Amino acid sequence: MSGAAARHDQGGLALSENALEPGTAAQWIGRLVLLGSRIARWSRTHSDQQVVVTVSVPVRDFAAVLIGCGWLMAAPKPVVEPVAEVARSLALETPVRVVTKTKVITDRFRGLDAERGRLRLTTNWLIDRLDAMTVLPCFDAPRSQQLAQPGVINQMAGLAADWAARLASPADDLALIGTLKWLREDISGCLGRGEELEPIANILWPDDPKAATRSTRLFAASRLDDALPLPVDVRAVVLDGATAIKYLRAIETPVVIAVIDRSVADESAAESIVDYRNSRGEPISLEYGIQWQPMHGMEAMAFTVPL
Amino acid sequence: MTRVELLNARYERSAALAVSGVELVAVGEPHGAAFDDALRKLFLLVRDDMSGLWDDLLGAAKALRWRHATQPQPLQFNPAVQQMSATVAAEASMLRPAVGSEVREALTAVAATAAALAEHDPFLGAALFEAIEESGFLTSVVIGANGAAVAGLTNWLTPFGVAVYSTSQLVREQRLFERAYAVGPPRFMPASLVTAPLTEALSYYVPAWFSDRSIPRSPLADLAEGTPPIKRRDFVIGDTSSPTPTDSEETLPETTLLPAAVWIPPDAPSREPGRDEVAARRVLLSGGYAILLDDGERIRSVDPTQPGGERVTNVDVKSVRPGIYLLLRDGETERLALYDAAIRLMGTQASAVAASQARWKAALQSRFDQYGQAWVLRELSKLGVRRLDRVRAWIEPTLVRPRSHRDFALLLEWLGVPVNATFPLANALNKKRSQASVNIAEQLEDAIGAADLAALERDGHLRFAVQSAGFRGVIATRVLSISPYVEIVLRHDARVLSTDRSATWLE
Repeated sequence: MSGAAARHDQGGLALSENALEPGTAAQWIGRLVLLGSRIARWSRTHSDQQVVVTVSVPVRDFAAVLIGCGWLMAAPKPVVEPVAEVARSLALETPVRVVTKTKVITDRFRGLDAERGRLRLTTNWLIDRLDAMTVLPCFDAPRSQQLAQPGVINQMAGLAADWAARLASPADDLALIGTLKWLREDISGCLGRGEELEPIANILWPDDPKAATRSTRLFAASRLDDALPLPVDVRAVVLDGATAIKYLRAIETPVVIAVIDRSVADESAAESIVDYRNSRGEPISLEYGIQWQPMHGMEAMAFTVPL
Repeated sequence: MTRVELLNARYERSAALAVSGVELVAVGEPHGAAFDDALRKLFLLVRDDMSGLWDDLLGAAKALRWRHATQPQPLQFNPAVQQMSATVAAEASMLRPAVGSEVREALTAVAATAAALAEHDPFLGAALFEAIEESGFLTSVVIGANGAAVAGLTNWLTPFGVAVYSTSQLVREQRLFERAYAVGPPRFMPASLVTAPLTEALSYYVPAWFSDRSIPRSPLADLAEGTPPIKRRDFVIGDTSSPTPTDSEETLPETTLLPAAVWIPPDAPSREPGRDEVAARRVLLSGGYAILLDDGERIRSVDPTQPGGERVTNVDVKSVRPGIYLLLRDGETERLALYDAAIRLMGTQASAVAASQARWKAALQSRFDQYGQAWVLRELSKLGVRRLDRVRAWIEPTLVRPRSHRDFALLLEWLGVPVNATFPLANALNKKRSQASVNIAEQLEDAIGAADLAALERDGHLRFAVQSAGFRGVIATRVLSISPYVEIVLRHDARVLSTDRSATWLE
């Protein structure tokens, strides 16, 4: 295990259902986070194939979300040019995301006053006060949200150092597919260590119509039929539960992580994964390939499929 | 206990049970053993007779046998045993004049041993009660094999303060107990009792005559890393001196004697479907319904375990299996309604898209007509088309396009149809179909949101009123059995709800 990862697995990550409740530590929490991080690292050097990792847990709660946290905790540092340089290259009306000392904003670029060091959006900003700026591929309406400071998990994962750049240009390659109501409940929980907790939403940055920054896309498994194919920039999906897993063959992202809830009597999800593995997959070792081991109470297997 | 603490307990119990293993208590049940033996002998004599003559007797006898294995409460809490035993006797006496002496003898034995079941309280129940009493009425939970078993066991045990649940009820309520007593053969109860336990210990109670004592495993168990096999500790109590088997007796797997639909192979030889035909399987549904299900578009289903707003979904035809609930409408099938709605939504492009779709589908159909299925699949396979299992379904007029862009493009090129003209029209139609499908799903969600889903799980089927154009009525119904045989049927008959009473003994 690498340093940081080993520490959070053994030091005992803790979860709480909401910000008011104290955290409860358990080994499975860190183990699932670690799975997300390990697959993220592995997939960077194996981009020519699809990897399907299946993990079965006694009950689905938090599993998909924790794996997602692990994936984003391993996200590489984004390449973000200095604000003044970005501003000089922009055409008017280009949609942008800007991170200030206190806010994240999306808006249209309305001009640059280089002499006075000002950037015009809907309001004017001193360029010195802007920590990061990126161009957005699409835009519907201006948004603004308070800047959240990195908490214990983001610091532990080493993401705090490039915080503004990460909020301006978040990793947006992850999708969680499952029962939206349950996923949103899980995301409203907090993850941390000891007494220190951080909202899971500040690690995953899920789809939110009011948010100015977003990492993780959420899809309802019950409506996935009408949402496929997935956007091409999604590189990893977590299929949370049987309804989502039944779409496995229709998903062409390089990384698929299937979470099986063993408390559900329907075993067809697990069987369909085994079928897919036997018909198209090449088994790989989680322990020696991805360098992750399930703990007691979990089962796991992995295989690759040519893309 | 907070939600996270409860989760910790679930992980700990899963891990602990994997180490400690489960207990299997086989209780001697001489009357049950005699009935089982008589039924096996009769079954061996008549199993090759596919006339349907034996269906009612065997249906009733298998149901009685299963009840005896899963509902060991004293007879005063199990009045159905009396009725089932009487039905078996009546069916046997109707058949007796029509058969030879050997079969007649077997029939007499089945009727006599069935009658004995209705006269003696089961020993299994007594043994179970003693065990629960010893470990504590309030710290134990009894798990019934199905809804009927839970109801029967509840009447008997709740006056003592013992909780009785089905596996899915226990999961839903997330109550933790020290010990679970599962009543019935392990392999025929949900694996989650073992693989995701809410209890620290688990004991199965089965009659000793039931031969299959295997413990269910997760379907991943053989392939997964980190799963030790679950250990089983066997205990045998009571009188287990079984009847002496006759020389000719062969071992019948338990599955042949469980209540199950009897499927008779079709008379017609297998052939490829013609132009207006599809290959379909008959699906028996709760409430006395059936449909002929072809491998075309996904089919609407409802999942009562999901929260409101996410219960209605589409499932792949291959995932349709006993236990899931299909959502079917009276009259016109949903796929036809959706297709018509999508075409309407295309507006001025409607006729262009209909013509374009008809063109490539006709081209594919004529390849099938001209060269046969095997050749078509071979050629497409050479080109690298991935979903070869779906090629036949792509002909279906209401199925807009293959899901994979790549497969669709390869197919169109191979058919010699202009890709640039066809592809965008099919995509546009697909978008409209999705839009129509989402609209309908929302209406169905609204209707189901107001319905009593406990009634659906208890009764197996439930009618809904949907206030919308194009709907006459909608029924959610549990799949009971799917035919292993494929029939060639007219396309417009596929997926149409019809009545079929052959599943009486399955409910």
